[in-house]
Amino acid sequence: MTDYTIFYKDYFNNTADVSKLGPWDIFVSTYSLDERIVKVFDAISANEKYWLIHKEYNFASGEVPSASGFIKVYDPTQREDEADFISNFFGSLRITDKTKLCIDITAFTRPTLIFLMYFLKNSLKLRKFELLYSEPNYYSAQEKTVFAEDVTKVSQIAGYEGKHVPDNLKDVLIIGTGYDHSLITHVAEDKEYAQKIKIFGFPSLKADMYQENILQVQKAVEAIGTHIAPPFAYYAPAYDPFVTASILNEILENLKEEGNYTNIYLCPLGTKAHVLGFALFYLNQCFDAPISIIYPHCSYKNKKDSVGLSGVWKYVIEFN
Amino acid sequence: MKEKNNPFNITKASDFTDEQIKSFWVEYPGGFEKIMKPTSPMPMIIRGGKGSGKTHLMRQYSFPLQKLRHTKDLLEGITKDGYLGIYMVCGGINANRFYGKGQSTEIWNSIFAYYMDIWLSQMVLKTTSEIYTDNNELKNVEKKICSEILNLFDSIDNRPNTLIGLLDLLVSIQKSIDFDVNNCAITKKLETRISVSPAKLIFGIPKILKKLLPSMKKILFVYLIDEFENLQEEQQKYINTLVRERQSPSTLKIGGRKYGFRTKLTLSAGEDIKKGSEFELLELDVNFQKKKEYKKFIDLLCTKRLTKNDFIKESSSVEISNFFDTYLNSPFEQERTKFIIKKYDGQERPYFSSLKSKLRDGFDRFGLSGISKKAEIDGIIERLSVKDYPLVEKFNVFQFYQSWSQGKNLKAASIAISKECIKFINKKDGTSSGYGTYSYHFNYWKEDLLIQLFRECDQRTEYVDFSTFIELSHGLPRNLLIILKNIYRWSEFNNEKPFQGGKISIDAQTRGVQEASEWFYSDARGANEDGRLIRDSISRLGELFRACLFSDKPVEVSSAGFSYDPSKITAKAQRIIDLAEEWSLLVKIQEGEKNRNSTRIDSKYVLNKMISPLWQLPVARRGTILFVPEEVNAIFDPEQKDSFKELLNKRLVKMNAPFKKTDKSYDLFGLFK
Repeated sequence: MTDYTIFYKDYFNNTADVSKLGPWDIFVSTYSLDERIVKVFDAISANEKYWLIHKEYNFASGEVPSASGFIKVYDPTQREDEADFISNFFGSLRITDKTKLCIDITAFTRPTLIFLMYFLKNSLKLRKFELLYSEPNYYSAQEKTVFAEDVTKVSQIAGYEGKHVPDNLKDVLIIGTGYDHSLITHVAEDKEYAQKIKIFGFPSLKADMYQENILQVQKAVEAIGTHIAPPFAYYAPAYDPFVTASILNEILENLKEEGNYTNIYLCPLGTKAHVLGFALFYLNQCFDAPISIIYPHCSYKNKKDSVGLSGVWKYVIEFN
Repeated sequence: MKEKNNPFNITKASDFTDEQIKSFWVEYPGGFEKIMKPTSPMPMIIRGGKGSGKTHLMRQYSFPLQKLRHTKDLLEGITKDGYLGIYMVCGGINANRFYGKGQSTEIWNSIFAYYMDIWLSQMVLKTTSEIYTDNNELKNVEKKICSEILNLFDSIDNRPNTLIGLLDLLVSIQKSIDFDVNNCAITKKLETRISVSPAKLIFGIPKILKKLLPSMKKILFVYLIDEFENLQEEQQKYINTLVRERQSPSTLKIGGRKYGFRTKLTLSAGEDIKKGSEFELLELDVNFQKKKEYKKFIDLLCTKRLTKNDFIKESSSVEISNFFDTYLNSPFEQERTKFIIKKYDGQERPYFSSLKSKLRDGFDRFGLSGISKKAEIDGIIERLSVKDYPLVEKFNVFQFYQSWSQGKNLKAASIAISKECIKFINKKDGTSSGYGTYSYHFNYWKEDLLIQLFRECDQRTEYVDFSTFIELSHGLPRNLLIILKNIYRWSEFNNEKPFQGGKISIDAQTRGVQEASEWFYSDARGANEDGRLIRDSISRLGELFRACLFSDKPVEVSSAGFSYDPSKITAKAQRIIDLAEEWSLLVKIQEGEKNRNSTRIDSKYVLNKMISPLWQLPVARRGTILFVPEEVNAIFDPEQKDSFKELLNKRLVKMNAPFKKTDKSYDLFGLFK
């Protein structure tokens, strides 16, 4: 079992501190209209900087930045699935284990971020790289903020499909809860027969965000049940991927101990830090098991879901 | 005393263990066996709305439940049953990964069929070895069974001679397909070697078991395939092909939500599967809409919940409706309306204020038939007043609006209404005295007028009584359970002791219904673009029904149904209507509606009763509104929605005083704010 607590993380209160970081050889970020994305991108010092454009944001022509100097833009003409998007972009860069790579994961779509982790570990075989995650002052419509909607399908994410068994009597679905209650309902109904376990982001990024989260999750209560304590509900800091991975490990150990699962489905719908925790847990512990990461893929992502920038987390990812 | 749990907490079969499925099982009047026909070789498609009970029903006929029922001698029990239920949920196969990744549809079709066969075969073999655990019958022929099953493969290197060994082989084949399919997303290569023809294992294994195991001679292998909606169209074609090409001793029963059946096509030359000759269709919620049997079934269901959760004793005979507070019957609904007398003591009642203002406005702008001086308006109000019986007053006002719309002499009309009213009141009991009379019409319109009255007097519409909840659930048992679950919560919140003595208050009932209704509306539609279009359309439809209900002179009583000429509406409008029906927001009336002006049979739908409370609509349904094609298009065709406001106003002009087109725009209830 991996001890996730030894991973390194750091927090910066302002962009002045962020600008002192690096310099990196390559910095990659996904473009959105949020201040927390653009400010960090501008502050970062790197030899090459890349904006990735996700089709889910549905940017109008002229809304996306143009390439200039050492800033480049990857904006595929057609919508690609997460595997093609990441493989095509990162495959076109010359990244080796010696490249100093930093990626701002804040505006990545969740499936793309999850596959990214798989690709960096298994295809590029990177042992170490750094990730940034920015916190907003608040979400633009508080608890009513919609981050993603218009579900097209619930499916497994490439690289995280596992090897499942036909017996599903004790299947378990572990949901990292976020604000988008329609996504929670959608995924819970896709695995309707599975026992549901929730992971809430607590402590949250800002004090009121936990309450906002609970208010939204309440709307999906018919699909996921009312329990708010173990063994049906757990808590992991919304900003900490490593504790999230540790909590997932704890849940898995409990389930193993009780001989209490046939298949496990993981569905991270919380903050990107939580999503990262789910991916790390899977990559370290779940390969070849009847465990997969599933996601309600959406055709719409909110291009401005937050206001301000209150701080930036840096996570150092190391694989064996 | 031990704290009791909400007996209606679990609302989904998927949250029940097998033991709970068995213990909470209740029979449908006449028996579910007659509906499910588990020993019939004819394949069956079980279609039903969300919460219609498909999963509960299919699991009841699955092997794990057979095992629980036949604890003494499993094999003998299954032999007596005459069938073996192999239950699978399509969600478990994660079907969406058999798509894209740079591979053609044809390749995915072959791989999916192969995977499905291996998956189901594992289930059959695992079940068989469990049945024969302590029985020598299998041991004697195990090698032969394995050999014959292996001969179904085109080529196979490993040849185990026990069922466990064979199972291991299938597991390793499955894992190898998993590996190929999963890696294909990255490598874009799929080089899986398919070693058995489609369906050969699914139908072949039961044949071999029947041939070599005498105790299996008369057993039908029933593949119970649930959650069909989780398969893609191409994948459903394979299952449809299995239905068409079924071979004894196997059959299939396929369960899915109404919107989940994406195609009737098979892979056999692109032909459809045929209802009647190739499969039987069970429409579960249509079945449950038969009122008498459904009511009995729901009574049993609730009694079982209360018994198993120690609210009532096993043997006691209980009338569930007795647990709920309701109104005392009183002449002219005096009990329900007495708050109005108190609230407006010394003041004009709101429906009179509104009438007076409309009469004055009408007098100034157009003149009023039979009224020469404005001061006469007070006399009219006086004649229509019946201080002790607000509902009778309200009915008088309604009749007066009818006379106004017909251009009658209004003074004479008020006198005639008053005369009839006095006769009616003097009869004291408020009962009807024959078609066409004042009392007949009073009773006919009573429920709608009460809703209007409550709204005008700032009182919410109340939904009370167990029979109302059964009506609201509209053939979907889960709806009923969710209503009761919410009522129980509100009742506890109000410091009542639900189902433990005392009555559940009207407040808890109404709040519980309202909450369940909101849940149903947000839940019963897709979370995609279509879902949004359905929601917008149903919202326009609900607003229209509400505007009609709260108009001065509703044309139809208790209307939440509509009919239209299907040949005249746009394809886009019909598509949204069909989707809304598949998501159970609309219920299709199969026999349609005979057009009043021709021999044409129009399409007819009603709004699901479960969402009536969202627009304060009554639960009882009688009237149907005939829509002109432009109205249907404005409600359901997203490209024509902009004309909705204008068309609604056009309809409302005829239903609201002064019953003439004016320069005022009607926004009677703030619908467009």
